[in-house]
Amino acid sequence: MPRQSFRAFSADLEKLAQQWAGTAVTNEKWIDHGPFAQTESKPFKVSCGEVVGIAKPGEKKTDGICRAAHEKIASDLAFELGLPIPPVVLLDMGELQDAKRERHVSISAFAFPQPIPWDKATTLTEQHKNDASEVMSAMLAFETWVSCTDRKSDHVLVYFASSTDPVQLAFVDFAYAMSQQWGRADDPAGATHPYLPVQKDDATAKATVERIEQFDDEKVKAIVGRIPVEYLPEDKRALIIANLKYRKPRLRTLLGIK
Amino acid sequence: MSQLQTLMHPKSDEPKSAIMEGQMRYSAITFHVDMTKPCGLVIPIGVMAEILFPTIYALGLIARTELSADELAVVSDVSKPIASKPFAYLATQFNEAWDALAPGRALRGLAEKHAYSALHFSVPETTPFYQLPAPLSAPLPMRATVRMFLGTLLDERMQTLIQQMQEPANAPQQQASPQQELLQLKAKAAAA
Repeated sequence: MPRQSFRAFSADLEKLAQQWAGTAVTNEKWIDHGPFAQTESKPFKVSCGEVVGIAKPGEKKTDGICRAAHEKIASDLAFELGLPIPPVVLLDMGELQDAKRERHVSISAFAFPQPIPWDKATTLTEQHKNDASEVMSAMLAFETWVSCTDRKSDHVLVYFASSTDPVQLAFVDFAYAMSQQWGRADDPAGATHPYLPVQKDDATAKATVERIEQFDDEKVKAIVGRIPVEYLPEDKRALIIANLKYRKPRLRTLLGIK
Repeated sequence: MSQLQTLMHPKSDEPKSAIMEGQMRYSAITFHVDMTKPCGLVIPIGVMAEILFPTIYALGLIARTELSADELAVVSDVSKPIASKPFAYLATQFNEAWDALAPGRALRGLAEKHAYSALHFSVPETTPFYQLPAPLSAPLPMRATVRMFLGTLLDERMQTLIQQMQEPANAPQQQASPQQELLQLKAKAAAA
């Protein structure tokens, strides 16, 4: 019986995920703790009460890529499909003193207390790798659906407190997906290729494809439709809705699944 | 015990002017015990820094060789290979970045690689430009000067990092655990 969920987040994080899956933009007050990492989107750390997250982009971009919207849509779709993308919510930071800062950002909650990128997790057991193979196969189906092709092992975070615990995985960074890849309503974008050194699990890939095929188009419209226009212009909104529908029946061919 | 490695290449370019301006950048390296908490415990680990002049590039690392028993007790099994012997781990990262990345890219590359990791590199900060007086622009004195600047920056930033992570001022000062350092220099910096 295929797994219904590949999420291994804490109960608190799943409660937050449930809350954020029901809303597009947070109206709570968040504290900006300053730059967090040197990556392309210039993320910065934020907190609200006991919740800590990474907000991005940290500066205004002129490339037209809807980073925050893509992160939010990917997280919400993954929540519905039981896939391990940490919860994301959008934030309007209001008028900022620094004119170079971006006002409309996404916040991604930290998934684990001590995350490590996949290739630094050198004590994975065979059981951990077998479990990861299932999760990876499910995520490849999803990442192909949303055309997130810029993937590497740095985008997979690993955690376990004790080596006898099951491995917990989180997949991050979906800014370069969807309307960043698609140029037309029936875009021929290809599959996401495997990027972790684990076996492919065909049964899991197939089961995930089936779940995506059955995903309600109205639910897709609702998730994408509620993103405010400041984060997602109407033409890109239409492009994303059209391609998510277009790609559903084509995933089997793209992924080589019968 | 101090471990110092240097790599020297013959200077290939004459300085364009008698006085050269350079850049120094550094990144503090810390281990976050709980990234899901706004004020989680943060363990000081080390500092990595680089100096970029038109004709010379230097990269340096100073880091603790081990964690205390109390600190090890809060490190998860998944993180232990990289956090329990910090200098050993960071030295391999240092050497890989030195070999693989263009001059001026190593610090940024490592900070990006550890962007979401509990073993975290702070966003590299740039310190004020340093100008070398003309007589020190000749190769040998210049390398010695760069090594001195880099070593001083590493020591100063490491001390600051440990002090910032100390318990409140009225708590007894803890002796810093053993540290090691690593420096590399190469001629001809690429554009930063």
